[in-house]
Amino acid sequence: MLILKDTDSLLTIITSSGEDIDVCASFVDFDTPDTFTADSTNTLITTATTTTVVGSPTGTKKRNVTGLTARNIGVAINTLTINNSDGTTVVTLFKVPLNAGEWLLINEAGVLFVYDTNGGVKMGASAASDTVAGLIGLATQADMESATSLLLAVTPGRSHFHPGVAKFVCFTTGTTTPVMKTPPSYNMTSITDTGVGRLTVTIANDFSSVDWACQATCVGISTTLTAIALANTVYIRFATMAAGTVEVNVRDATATTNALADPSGYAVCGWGDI
Amino acid sequence: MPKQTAPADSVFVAITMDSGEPLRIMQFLTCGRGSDLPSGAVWDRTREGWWTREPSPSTIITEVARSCPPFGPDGTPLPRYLRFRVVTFEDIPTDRTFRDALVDDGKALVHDSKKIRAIRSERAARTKGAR
Repeated sequence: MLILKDTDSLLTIITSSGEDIDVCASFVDFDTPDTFTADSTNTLITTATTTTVVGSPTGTKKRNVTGLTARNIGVAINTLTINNSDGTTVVTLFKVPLNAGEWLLINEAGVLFVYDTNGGVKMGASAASDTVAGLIGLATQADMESATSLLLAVTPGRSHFHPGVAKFVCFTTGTTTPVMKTPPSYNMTSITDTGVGRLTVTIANDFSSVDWACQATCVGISTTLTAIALANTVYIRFATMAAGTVEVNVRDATATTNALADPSGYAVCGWGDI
Repeated sequence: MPKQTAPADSVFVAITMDSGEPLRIMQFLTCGRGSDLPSGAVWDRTREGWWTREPSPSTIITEVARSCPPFGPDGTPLPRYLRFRVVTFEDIPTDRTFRDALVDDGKALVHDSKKIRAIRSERAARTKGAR
């Protein structure tokens, strides 16, 4: 609540530039014992100056400022300093830069809001940090790829651009015919049973180059490891890493030949730039 | 071993390769999950984050070509596909004893007797070598 208490009290706005400012102020005068009189004033400010936007009440009246709006109708920024004077001391209530088209509102509770050109409330003027509440922006693909910002927020549709996040996930089951399961599979368009112990995965949104990190493992075919043929090893087949595909192989641990062998399932992931 | 059931949202494609490579069997997804649309797909309006695509000849040939790049990253020539055919999940033999002897005769996926003999010989040699 903003009260002008006597004939020396007033509300002024100092403008930092000549960008035009439209001001509308509403107020109610109270006079004892029970007289209330509502009124308003409109002011157009066109220069860098100090302007009284709500004058002093007369006599014994008390003036309650119930609303004040100021809109920058110019084409460039104008910083408004809103001062309250009781006739002796001048205090600054708010100091707000208004861009072209923006406006501010002081409501009847004395709370200030600044609105953007689309009518949305501007939520703050400073950036949020670990210790300060404020504006927070959304990370772009480039922000995610640089992976250094401590100020930007991550959205679900861009989290995969972070270098530490897997770009694709492939999980298969089925010992007779490998079948991809979705979920957990992600960013995949197909798998190919390339032969015994061989699986080609094809990614939906390719990596930007052939330089990416592939991690593959498999589900074994038995808990019994007394036979070396039941101990599987997974590796990337030579020369098969492309931007959008890779072939992984599984071999058993047969002593002399390392024969290709079918697992119960494959799990393949990849990290890199997409 | 429980019998596998045909997965939903998939089309299977038998791909015949050159260079004596085994027949490849592709699971072509007609529905998938991701943050970006693959070629030929549209977002599924009923499920956020999912896309769908028709198993049309053009999308299938694109997928087959992508899964069979002609060269490795160091320029190494890779096996190339000669032809492909859409098959049903039930067309795919469940016994993988001679999986690498499978061929597509244009009507069915069958085992090639010459390849079976070669596999048997190789296994016998391996067993002998392991002793």
